[in-house]
Amino acid sequence: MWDARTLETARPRAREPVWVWLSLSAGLLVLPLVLPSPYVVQAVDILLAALLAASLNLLVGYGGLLSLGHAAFFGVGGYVAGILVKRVGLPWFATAGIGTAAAVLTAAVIGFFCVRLAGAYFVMLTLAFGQLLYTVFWKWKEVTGGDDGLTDVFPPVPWTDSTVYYYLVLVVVGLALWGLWRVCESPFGAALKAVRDSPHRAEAIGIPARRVQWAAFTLSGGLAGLAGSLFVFHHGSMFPKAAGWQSSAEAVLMAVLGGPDRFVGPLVGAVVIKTLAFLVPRATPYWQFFLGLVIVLAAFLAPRGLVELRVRRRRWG
Amino acid sequence: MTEEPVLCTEDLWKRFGGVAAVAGVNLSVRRGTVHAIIGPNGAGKTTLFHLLTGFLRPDRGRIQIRGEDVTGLPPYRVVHRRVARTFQITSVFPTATALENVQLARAAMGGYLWRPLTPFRRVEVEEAWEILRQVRLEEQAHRRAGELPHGDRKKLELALALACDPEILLLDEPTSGIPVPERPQLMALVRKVVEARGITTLLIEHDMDVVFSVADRITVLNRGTVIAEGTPGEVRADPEVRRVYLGEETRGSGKPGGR
Amino acid sequence: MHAILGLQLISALVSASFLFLLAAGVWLVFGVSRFLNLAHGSLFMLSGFLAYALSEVLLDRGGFWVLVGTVPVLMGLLGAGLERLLIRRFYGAPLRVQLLPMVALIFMISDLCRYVWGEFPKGVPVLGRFGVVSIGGVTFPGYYAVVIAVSGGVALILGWIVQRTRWGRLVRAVAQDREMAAACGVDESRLATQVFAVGTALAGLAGVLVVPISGASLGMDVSAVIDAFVVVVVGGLGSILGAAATAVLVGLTQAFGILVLPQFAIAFVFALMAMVLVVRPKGLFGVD
Repeated sequence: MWDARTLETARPRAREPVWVWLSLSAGLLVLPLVLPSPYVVQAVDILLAALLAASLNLLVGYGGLLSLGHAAFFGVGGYVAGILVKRVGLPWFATAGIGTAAAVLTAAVIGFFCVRLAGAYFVMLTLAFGQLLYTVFWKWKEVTGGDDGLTDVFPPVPWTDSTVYYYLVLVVVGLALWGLWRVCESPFGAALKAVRDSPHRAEAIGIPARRVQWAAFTLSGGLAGLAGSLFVFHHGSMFPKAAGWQSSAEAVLMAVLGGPDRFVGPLVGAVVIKTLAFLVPRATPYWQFFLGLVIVLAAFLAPRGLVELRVRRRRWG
Repeated sequence: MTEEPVLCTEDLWKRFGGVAAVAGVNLSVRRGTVHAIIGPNGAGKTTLFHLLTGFLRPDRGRIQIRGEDVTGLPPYRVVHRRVARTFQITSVFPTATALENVQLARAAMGGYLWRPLTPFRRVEVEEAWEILRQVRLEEQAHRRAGELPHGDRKKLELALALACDPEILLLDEPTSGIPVPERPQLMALVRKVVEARGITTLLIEHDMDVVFSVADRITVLNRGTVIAEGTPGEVRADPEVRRVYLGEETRGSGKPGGR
Repeated sequence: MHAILGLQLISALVSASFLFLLAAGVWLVFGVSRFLNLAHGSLFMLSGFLAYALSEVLLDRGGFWVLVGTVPVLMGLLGAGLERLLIRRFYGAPLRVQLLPMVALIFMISDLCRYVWGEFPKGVPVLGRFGVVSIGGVTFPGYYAVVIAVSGGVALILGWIVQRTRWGRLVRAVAQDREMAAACGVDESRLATQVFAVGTALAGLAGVLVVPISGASLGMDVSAVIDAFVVVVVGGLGSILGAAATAVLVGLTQAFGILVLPQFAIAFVFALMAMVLVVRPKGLFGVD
């Protein structure tokens, strides 16, 4: 009665074919060998932005929870890791782990409150908590360096080379994204979407809705913290702005403009927005204005994200 | 019979503002029966279901399932005591397929939620197919729930509840929105499934033909209180019930409730 | 000590005044259109700069009160235009899509202000015109009393409009049940424009009033919208006077927090918010 197909849900799902992933990995592996080194630095930033956006998308896309305070966890990871190296003198790879753990903890505490609210209230609350952390980074001058930033926290020698660091980040971000993808494809990911679509129904079939959202919030914040811990040793510095609302909004834009309904969406969004943010400011100091124009256009033309545009054309054309 | 009731409530109260939606309900449901709750609109039927399944917390009173106190438990814990329900307004997961809907219920009940390395698409697939087959929905298995016609969504709703492997099933108007001629068929299906699994069923239903044909026992609610309880025959003969409720039926079109 | 407490009380009421004017705009738009106006703070900032720009002309010709009257009217018109051209196209869209035009507005208004008025804060020096006031040994600028009186007056008038007038009844009807209101023939679309215009005008009033105290500066946009959000979250979607009371509570928490922990006074506000969320998630004055 059943064939092998019935063992899987076999719905035509929006998934990238294997060759896309293979050629992408190959491209990423040879990238630093062909790029001049300033661009390698840029490439690391894009990788970290991709992790930030993908982790946020666990909330925005899968959970339907629009967080505007995500960069704060990036900040927690970066500041904790950097401060422990600079003021305590711990080895840098250990502090990167501690920074990530600190972000997990912070996200757990903040998430506990945030998942009690839905919709616009959730947005307001995450924005507010995010700015609270930002204020701490900005005002606690003795520890964080305040406006002047936390500087001079470079890792020891082989890792200061941008190509070496690129490969480290590639491996860590690759593993993190793989893990995140597995979580999204696991029953937990399905439950998260179910809570988004119909919270009462989800509870009625035994899903602890709030706890699932809380776990997603914590995981998402933790991965942002990981990105932050890698970021601080990449640039050797951390500034409050990286944890502020603009950075959070940027991460949201990456996810939403890229396409929050699919795992690759935020990754595409991260590449596009980071590249724009790298190139456009060279042409005009008022690049935010033009970014705004692009966003408004995108909101009209591709409200479901860039990746959905591509899919649609392939299906119809 | 001296057997313990499988579900009972003791002086259950729930107020909204000044109105007592459920006012001191004592309910006792025997194992293996189909027990209908009827009453005019606003009688407190759905509120009672919300109380029994943890979606609302009673102001007073207790709820016992198989002798265990479950008062105040959240819904996802109640369902683990093997009490599953459907909703009056059909509520399925629209972006997932019918099969994924059922799989998810199985996954949640089977403790798969916290296993992040297990691929969801391989979880409880055979069991989910079996349940879809029981409600005759296997041909729609790979369609998104949001695209299903209303009748199939009603069946999927039932499948979701069955997937929780209940001993007690609460059905909130399973035939609403279904054309009258198709109702007996759907209820025969329900009856067959619950009998095969030995499930005790609590049923809210407005269609009196359905109620009197499938129910073993009937409780009549009016303004939050029980005004009668008994077999269909006893309830039909009860003068109080005839006054507040059935009296309308004889005059109306056979579908009371538009109070 | 007594004088310090008195002064803190006054400054609490001043910040409560601004909190209320800002929150009322967010509150009205969210209530009627279910639209979260993230750019509300940007409109507030724009009003501040606009007040500075107009002050060069208007202060000499008509005086401060003409300025206070003009800016909200201009901002209200701008708000109506924005609502018609951009914002209404996103009503009913998923929140994450609604967010796009708002973030775009924040970016664009911020760069626009930087382009026109530059990086440095701009002030309107009228504080001196209002002298100082002394109540029970507490001396403070008379302008503070003006701000408190104006926003208190606005709170009462708004409360009266929303509770007692025909227009207010429409607003409340739509806020409670849009389908029902639409079925009863309420012109929702016009109401949405009007409410957005009123909200923007209130941001305009807050903007023109704040400039003499702290000036117009880049960056005041987001801190303002967050303050407004905190008031809306703590107060909940209840009555306009509930929002006013919440603004006072938040203002007091801020002002006295500064005495205890100067750098992190904001933490007390968040503690308040966290407490409210745990005890009463729908907000102090919220209704289900």
